[in-house]
Amino acid sequence: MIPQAVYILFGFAYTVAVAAALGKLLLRGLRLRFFREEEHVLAFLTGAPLLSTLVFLLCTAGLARKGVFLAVGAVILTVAWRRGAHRPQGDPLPPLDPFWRRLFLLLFAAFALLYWSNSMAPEISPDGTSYHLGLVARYLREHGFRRLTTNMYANLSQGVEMLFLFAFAFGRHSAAAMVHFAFLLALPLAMVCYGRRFQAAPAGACGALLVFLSPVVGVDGISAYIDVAVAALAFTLFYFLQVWDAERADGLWIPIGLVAGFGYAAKYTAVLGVPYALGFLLWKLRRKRALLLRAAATVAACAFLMMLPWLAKNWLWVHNPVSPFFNAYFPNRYVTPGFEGEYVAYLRNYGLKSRWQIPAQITIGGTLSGVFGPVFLLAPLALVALRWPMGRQLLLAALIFGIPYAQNIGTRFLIPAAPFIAIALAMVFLGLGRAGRYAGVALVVIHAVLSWPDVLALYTGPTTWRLVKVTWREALRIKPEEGFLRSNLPSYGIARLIERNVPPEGAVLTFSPVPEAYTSRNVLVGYQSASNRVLQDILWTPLTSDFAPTWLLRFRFPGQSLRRMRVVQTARGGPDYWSISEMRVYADGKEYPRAASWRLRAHPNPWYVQLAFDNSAVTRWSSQQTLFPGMFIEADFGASLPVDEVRLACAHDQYKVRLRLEGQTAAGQWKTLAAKPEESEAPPLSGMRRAAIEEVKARGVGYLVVSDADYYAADFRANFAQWGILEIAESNGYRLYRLL
Amino acid sequence: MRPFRPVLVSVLLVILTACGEAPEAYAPPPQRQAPEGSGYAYLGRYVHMNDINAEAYLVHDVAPAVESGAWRWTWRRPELRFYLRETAGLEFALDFAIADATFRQTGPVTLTLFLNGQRFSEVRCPRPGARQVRVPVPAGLAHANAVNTVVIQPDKVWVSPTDGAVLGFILSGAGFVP
Repeated sequence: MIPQAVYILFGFAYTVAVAAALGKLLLRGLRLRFFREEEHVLAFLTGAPLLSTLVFLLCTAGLARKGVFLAVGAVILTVAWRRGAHRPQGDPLPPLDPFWRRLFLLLFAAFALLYWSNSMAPEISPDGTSYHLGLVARYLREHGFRRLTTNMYANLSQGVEMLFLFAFAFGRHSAAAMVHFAFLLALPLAMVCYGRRFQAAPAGACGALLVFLSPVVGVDGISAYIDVAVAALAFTLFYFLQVWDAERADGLWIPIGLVAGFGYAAKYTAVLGVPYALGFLLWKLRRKRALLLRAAATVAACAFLMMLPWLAKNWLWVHNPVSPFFNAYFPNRYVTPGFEGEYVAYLRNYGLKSRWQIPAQITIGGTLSGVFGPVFLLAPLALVALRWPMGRQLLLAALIFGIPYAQNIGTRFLIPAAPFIAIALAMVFLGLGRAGRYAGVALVVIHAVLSWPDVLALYTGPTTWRLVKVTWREALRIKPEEGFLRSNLPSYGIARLIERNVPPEGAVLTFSPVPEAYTSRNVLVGYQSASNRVLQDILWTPLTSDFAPTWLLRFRFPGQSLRRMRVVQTARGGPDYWSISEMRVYADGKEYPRAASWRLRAHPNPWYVQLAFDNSAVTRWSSQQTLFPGMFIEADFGASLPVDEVRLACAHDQYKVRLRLEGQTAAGQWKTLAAKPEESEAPPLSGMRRAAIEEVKARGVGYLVVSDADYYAADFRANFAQWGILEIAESNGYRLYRLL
Repeated sequence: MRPFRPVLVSVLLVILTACGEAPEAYAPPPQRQAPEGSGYAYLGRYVHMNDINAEAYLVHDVAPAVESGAWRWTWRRPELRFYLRETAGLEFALDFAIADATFRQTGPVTLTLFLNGQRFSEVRCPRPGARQVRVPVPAGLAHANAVNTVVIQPDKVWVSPTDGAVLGFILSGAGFVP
């Protein structure tokens, strides 16, 4: 039997080799001349977009299979071999100062070894195991894309995940993580090459080490995340632009466009690479209009080619090309603007009391998920590099790729800007003459010491995201991975229990993410789509008095024949959403049964209007947006009906709403029937737990996972009989219930 | 003109993607019924201890377990809650028993009744056995269209000599009746 480690290493190496081969075929096909060392690195970073797009197309065609990947890779490698792509080409780069060369190799090798063992160890990162690889595993299982509307992460662009998928097919989770590790290695090498090419070799080496040794860069880069890949792509784009500026080789427009566009395919926030590249060309060619137009058109077209697959996939499947964002501009039933607003607000804040805490937290504290290390407190000194043209270029790129940080203040969102800041900072130190050289060396050595995992643990918080201890036996799978996973990924156990206890067609609802990469079952996480939020809301209704429909609103008016009626909301402001549990129509005190010929509408969130007409106290239609005048919910009877009363059953969690009732006469005119409702309070409801479970079951969910840390976890445990649920398995405080 | 073409196509495609889903109209969905046996209902004015939704009426010191499918033990200060739409002409009804086993230790027991925190009646139990009592509710104590709490406080409870566990009386049903 072939050891697992061989599969892992093969998956990793094969993916990197195929990407590099594609890159070399492209760069050499365009007759672009690079220095020998930089060509290897740039070929991988340029080939990655091509391989990713190829895998996307295979997924679209339903051909995401190991055999297909093997064959496609073999063809690419064969063609590359025949064209001599494996033979080095070009002159060597100007040499690096021997001292810096030795220092760089020493530290790079030590940390690369550390990172390699962590990268090859079983995957335990939170996002990697939940959605980056959860989706990758799903695509491989299903041999490609299938419409998935219950997981907003499936709507994010997944360019790097396509590379993960290629590797995953052979070596599973660790092979995918090692593809990211390849980007982690490529980034500092590209930085060194940049320094050597542009007569700033020590600054390149020093900056490369500052980035490579950073704890957050290390832990992100060894995981199935994408931030280091995005940083490598951003730096590659910068690199190509600088080379083009120096050499004016028109053939570079194509890789510039591909890499810029692939930034978007890798992560939405990196879309800024496209205006950056176009703006760069615009500035440099501002006096050569014809050339500028050709350059801009080529770059834009290549970039769009990389972006188009992801835009189109979202447009076709979730009606929002940039889902899960901008839902107010692209209204859809899958992600609501209200949720988007809450989500973005959290990412801008992470619960910090003040933004002044950020510098300390991203360098030492760690509450923003990982640290760059204390030496990065000196980052503002990089501004001194503005005195040099190269420094200005670096800091402009840092500014552009740092812009998205305002939207998400997690430390890793600064990784794409870090390489530029690091080289600029190194330039400032090394520009101080002999003393500066010593300072630069001291900076790197201190950074290395403070970044080593055992030292890091001494000054960062216990929850800081960092490397865990991995033994060789674990990395090479001489020791089975099960034990490592159970020790380092607390929710691993529940994923395996789901796999064991839930049938293949079963659906599991959970309030908190579980490592979907380790189960093949359909897991619905409460916050990850509008329909999942409905399920979650249903289960929370019996537990939250403010969610129960005990606020009764009654509109009475002189009896008349009406064809359509609508309740209109007239107030503005947050944080309330407007919601209605039931809307009922009466004449002479008798309710009209809801006839099949009725047509129901709502604005906004029209897709869930039926929840206000289903006779269930545990469901409700909600605007899913904060209040604005003109929101309405409407019943069209199809023909005129005599009506004199409308009753609403509402929850209390909407203190600011103001409502009026309008009706449409047979002649088609709308008029106000009642300016405001009479209010009363209904008695509390009982038996809602059971009703909630029935609703959830009616929506195809048969299982529920509740973590002991979740809201209301104790109620599910204590009142299981009232809910109608049975605990069938437990692991590390995660309980799996079957809905009875 | 050729260089413009990719840009033009790009712009057109982006514009096309701006078409979101138009608001739609839907037919009424299947009407939900209360789940069978769920007791899915509003809180009422009377509860039997074996009602499926009885837990909704219990505030504290009433055992969660239903014994013999009909009754529950109470502890030191059992409290229940009821929703009353109207209060006129109501009496408080109590279906309960003093167990022989506890009576041997406690002797005669007196239950003091409190409505919304106000004492309104007493029930003396000089001997063990089952009883059904109705006591008038003084005007003004109960609140209409509101949740009302009732405490049935025994003056003595049985205390286990071995582990200190406490038992009050046996409760089968309670609430307000016309």
